Amino acid sequence: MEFEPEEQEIVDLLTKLRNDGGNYPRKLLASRRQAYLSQIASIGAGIGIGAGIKTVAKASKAGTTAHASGISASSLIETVLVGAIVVQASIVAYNYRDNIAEFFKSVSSIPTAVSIPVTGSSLPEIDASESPTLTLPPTNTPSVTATTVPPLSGSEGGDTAAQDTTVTETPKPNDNNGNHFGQTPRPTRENKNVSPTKTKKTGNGNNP
Amino acid sequence: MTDGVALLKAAQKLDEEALTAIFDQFAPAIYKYTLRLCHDPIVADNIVGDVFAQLLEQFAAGKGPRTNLRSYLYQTAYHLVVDRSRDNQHNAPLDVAVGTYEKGQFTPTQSQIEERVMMEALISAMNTELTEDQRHVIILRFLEDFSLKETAEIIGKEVNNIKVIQNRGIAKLRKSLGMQLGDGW
Repeated sequence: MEFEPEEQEIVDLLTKLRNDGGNYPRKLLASRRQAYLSQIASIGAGIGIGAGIKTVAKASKAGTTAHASGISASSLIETVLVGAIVVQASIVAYNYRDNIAEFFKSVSSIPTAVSIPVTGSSLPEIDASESPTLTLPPTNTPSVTATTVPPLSGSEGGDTAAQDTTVTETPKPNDNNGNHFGQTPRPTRENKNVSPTKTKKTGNGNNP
Repeated sequence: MTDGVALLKAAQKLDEEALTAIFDQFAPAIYKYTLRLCHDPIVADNIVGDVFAQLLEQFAAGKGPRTNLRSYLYQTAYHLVVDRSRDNQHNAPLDVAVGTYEKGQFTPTQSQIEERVMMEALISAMNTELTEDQRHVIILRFLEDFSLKETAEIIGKEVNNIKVIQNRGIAKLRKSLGMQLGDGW
């Protein structure tokens, strides 16, 4: 980039400043470098674990495809893991053997549920029965005897013509045709001891 | 260049030697750049630590720079400085450069004294006259020797925009030095 002569002098002065300025103090630089190296080590450790996991994953994938390659890393790890699981399970079972035995006993002592046999697969038939007869207490009034309803013939709303109807005779009143308007017998007044507090109302009712 | 690419590829695989070599190669430069911006040696040291910690995290996550490692490191440092300056309302002066320049243990000649005066005026103008963007661009372009494209990548702007910022910054510096040092400027 080209500058005007006056500006070029300024640029030259600026470039002279390039080598000036504070240098990194040795102690500060050494401590900063040490901290940086420790950061590298910590990240490297994390990366190492991650890389190990990746390697195992890759080895497991390779082990499934290459069966003929002898004992691969995946099969070895699988064997070790299965063995560890079996050992762990056996230890747990041994420690809790009493509880396990009680559990099996309790399971075996539970009564089995008895199944109730169901007879007949179709719906139960409807038995046609006589309807109950209505019995009325004997009164002086003429009573109407209930008519017997013929039993249903199984089918709903069957033929009405086929039903038997019995008509009973209306009973005779026996000179007592009941209380009718104008024929009610007049009650007879009986002389009873009237209580002294009872007063007979007379007059037009204005008395206090 | 080939060594740089090989170093970068080895670092991406978290090779310890490559990562250490990267630190040894770039940590002093990053420190100097950060110190020019933030004025505080402790803050500059912390920023260097953050820069390389982020680099490690990026490499561990399978990310990070693919081509220009140096530009990437400066970019990270730049963002960290900007974040800190926003938090602290810090003005990012360049007094450290002045201080070290003044502490030179030699007997200056006449020309050296004149040059020293000009340097002081230049640094003062950079701290007072330039905007933050102009100061960053000037530092990256002329003190850290990055190209326009690399500077644009670091700051996150277009190359043409960087050109404009740079030219305006230089013009401001020239004007300021002319006012300070007389008509010779």
